Amino acid sequence: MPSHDRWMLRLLLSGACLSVVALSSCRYDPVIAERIRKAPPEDAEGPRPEHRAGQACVDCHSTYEGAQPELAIGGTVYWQTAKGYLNGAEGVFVTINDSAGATYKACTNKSGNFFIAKSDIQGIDDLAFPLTVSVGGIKMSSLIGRERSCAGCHKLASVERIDIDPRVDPATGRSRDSAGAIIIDPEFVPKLERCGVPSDASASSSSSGGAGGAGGTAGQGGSGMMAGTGGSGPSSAMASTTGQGGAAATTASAGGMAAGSGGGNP
Amino acid sequence: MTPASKCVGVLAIAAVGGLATSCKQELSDPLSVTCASREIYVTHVSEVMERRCGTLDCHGSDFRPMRLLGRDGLRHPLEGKRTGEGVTTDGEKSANYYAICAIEPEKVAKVVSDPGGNAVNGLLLVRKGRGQEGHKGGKVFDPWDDADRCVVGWLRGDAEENVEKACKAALARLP
Repeated sequence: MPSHDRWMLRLLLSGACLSVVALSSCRYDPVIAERIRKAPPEDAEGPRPEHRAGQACVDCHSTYEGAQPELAIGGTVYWQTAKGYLNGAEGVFVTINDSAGATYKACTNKSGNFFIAKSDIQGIDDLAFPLTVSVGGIKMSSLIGRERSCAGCHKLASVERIDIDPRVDPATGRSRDSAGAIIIDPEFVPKLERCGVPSDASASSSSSGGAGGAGGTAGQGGSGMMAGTGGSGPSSAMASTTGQGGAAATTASAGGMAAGSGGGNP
Repeated sequence: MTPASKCVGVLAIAAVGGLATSCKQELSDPLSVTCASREIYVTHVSEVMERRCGTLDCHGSDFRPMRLLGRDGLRHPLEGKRTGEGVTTDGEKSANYYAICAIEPEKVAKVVSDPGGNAVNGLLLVRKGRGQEGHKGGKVFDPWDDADRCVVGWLRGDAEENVEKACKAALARLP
């Protein structure tokens, strides 16, 4: 092969390599990568709808990390014991209204997790931001502009966060840059906003859950102080959607996708 | 040492000295911008910007330009408040005012010098809000809707009662 052809071939190969590197690096997001790197380890029971309560769901359940199902939005709802511990609030509706007029409902599972999968979005490809949200009938006071992981703003307390800012509330995680955990009082959730479990069962789980919170899985956000998130129960939650523009509504399918087994609050 | 290297040395020292002097001068300058009415901003516009743009996941973040502070978003670093506590303070509203006015100080000064003019349509703040410029948060205002008239009216010096009316109407649409 003549020398100039060899040079041309090398040049083309180098160009192709550079293109591959450039394209693959486009997916890299240092902020999400750092959050994933710092996330506490997986629960003993492994991936299931109740896992990793309080962590940023959509960091992984997205095209970025590829965990299935891909989520449109997800988060964790808690209730607080008299001693200040956090426990997953089971059986509460989270209602999400998007800017295109669609309403979606998700039901919290045993660890308080809720989510709406991308496949649950009907008619259009995705949620239309900004969103308004209510949990157990209580409206969130601000809009959601773009964040799909509720824990992106509703951060739990952690040793690292308190080291950086001593004003972080060690119980709720509230600080100057975070609204803290999403906390509801199960006693005040109207019947229409309950789901998945009978309302009286919800009340009884409230009374027994305090102990569960204190002895529950520690280490949310690395703090190990407050966030008992209970275990994994067999029942749980799935998103429901109501149609857009007055179209027929679908209802919640509690337990529809739940795969958890065993566990449960101590 | 040759004359040439001496010359290079002297020039390098002069350049470093000049740079240091200019930095010092800039840092010691008082913060001053030519911008639309601070009073109208604080009284009417700030709440619209806080609630529509300053959520924790958007401009209410330490990591984003045009940082906006407020009751339900990011709090002032020196005031010791947490998200959701109390009300938006004067210090927070003031910080928001400077955050907005300082994005394009020269262009904002030009808008202010020509009340009622069209230069406002070229501001990055307005173009991004209207979705005419790349904006991660997408289109936030439609041209001349209530929120747009609130912000644009304030910037170009519209009468306070018109700005107030537009801002109140914009707030009524928010949750």
